[in-house]
Amino acid sequence: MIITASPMLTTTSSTDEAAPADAALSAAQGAALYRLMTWLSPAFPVGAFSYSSGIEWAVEAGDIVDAPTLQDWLCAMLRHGAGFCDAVLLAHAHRAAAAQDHAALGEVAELACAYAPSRERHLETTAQGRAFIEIARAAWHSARLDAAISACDGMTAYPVAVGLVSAAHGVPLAATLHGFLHAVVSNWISAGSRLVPLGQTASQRLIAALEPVVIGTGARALIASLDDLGGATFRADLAGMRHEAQYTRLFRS
Amino acid sequence: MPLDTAAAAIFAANRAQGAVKFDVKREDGVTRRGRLHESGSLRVRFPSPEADGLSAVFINTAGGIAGGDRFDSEIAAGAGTRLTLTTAAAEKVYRAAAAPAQIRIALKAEANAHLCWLPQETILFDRARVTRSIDIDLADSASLLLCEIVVFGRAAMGEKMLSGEFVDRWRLRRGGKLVFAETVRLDGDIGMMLARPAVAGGAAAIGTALIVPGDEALVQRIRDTAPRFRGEVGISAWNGIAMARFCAQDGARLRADMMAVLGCASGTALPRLWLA
Repeated sequence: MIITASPMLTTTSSTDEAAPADAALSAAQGAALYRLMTWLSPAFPVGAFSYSSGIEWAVEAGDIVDAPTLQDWLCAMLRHGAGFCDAVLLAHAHRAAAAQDHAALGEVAELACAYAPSRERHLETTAQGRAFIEIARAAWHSARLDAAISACDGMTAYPVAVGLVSAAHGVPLAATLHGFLHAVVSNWISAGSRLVPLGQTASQRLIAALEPVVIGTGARALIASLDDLGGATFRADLAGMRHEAQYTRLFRS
Repeated sequence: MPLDTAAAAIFAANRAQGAVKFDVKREDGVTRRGRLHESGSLRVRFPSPEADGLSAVFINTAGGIAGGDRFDSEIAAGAGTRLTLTTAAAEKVYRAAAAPAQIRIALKAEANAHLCWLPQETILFDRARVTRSIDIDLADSASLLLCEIVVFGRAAMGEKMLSGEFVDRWRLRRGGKLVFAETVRLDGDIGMMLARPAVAGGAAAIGTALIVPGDEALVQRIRDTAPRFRGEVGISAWNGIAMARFCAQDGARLRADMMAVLGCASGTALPRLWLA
């Protein structure tokens, strides 16, 4: 795991390809990997498990009935929906925080809080973001964290929270982006597999199948300007809205 | 002059440009038009006066939108005014050779103003390219009813939009604070994208309505009309606003659903042009 993850944590990929398989991580790389795996683990207490991003309604409505339909739904959400958009917002928050450009950070923070397609999706991003910031303050403090948080004026949507905390800890952007998208897609698969339901092996096959989509989406987000933000998952948005009135629900979104 | 340069010059010379800018003010208890600026192929007409509000109808004398066209609208509703804006016909966006058409809309509503932006649908032909931005600036006490319908190809003519580009950037500020932001972005193989269940599930028309102020009581009223909907409709309220999203097989079904939702949201009648 550490060997395959380590090239992501450095910025020059060409030399990494040739690095020997037993090359050690530097202290900074080791710290970055340790922190990302902690912050983006399902065990990190932001309550990710309680949100399904509308997948619960899509299963109820029969749009998602098995592994292939779940995969197609998630692929669209990654490429043309919340996955790509949140990744772009994370990237801009990370860059602004790393440059200590608090005006730019404040703008991204405001945009990220307004960029939600329904009440529950708004709750999903703001509640997880707020929890992420509170835990970072309590357990993962760093010198630059407080200034970055105050620049957001209380508006810390989840991708902005992850971006600014990573930047304040010097964790590289590209690795944070891929780690974040992995956490998001894993959470969606976890929700989908409980609802359909799917077995553990089918879930793992899904995570494996979506790897190239996550990598491609992360790569696009890395070079996207805020004007490139955009999506088209109208029916995933509809699912998020209709979930509000769903009779029996396990999830908060 | 080389042929392609000449062709480009002719193309550029034939692109439509249009701009409309005006404001309305409250005088003697009624809404009156202030200064009006019109240019190019975008025109606005003010039909019969109504009780205490004013209606404005946009007319695109170019008869449609092609690549490279540019249209700008800037409208301000002064304190206490009631203004309803619509279009005389559905707007058609034709196939573009290269540059996308650009549409820029800026709406402002001051204290206690009631602003309705209710254009008829936009029909995108196959290989159309258009980039639109809608910026709305509301005072805290202003109210808004806004809708947009986009139809991908004329289904009744057996036409579909298979490829092209559609970018629609919306930013809504209330009391200076950004409360809603969204950019719809469809490009490349649009036919294949629209077919995906999480995107449009094969639907050929999408729509969005923003209602300010919006609350749970309004959401419930709209949900109660759900059995009458002909397509898919979602409604949600947060940040003091409500948003309705629509997805339907064709423009006619979507328009019927939009009218049902707007009817729940508004005490005022919809523009008569909508009913034609």
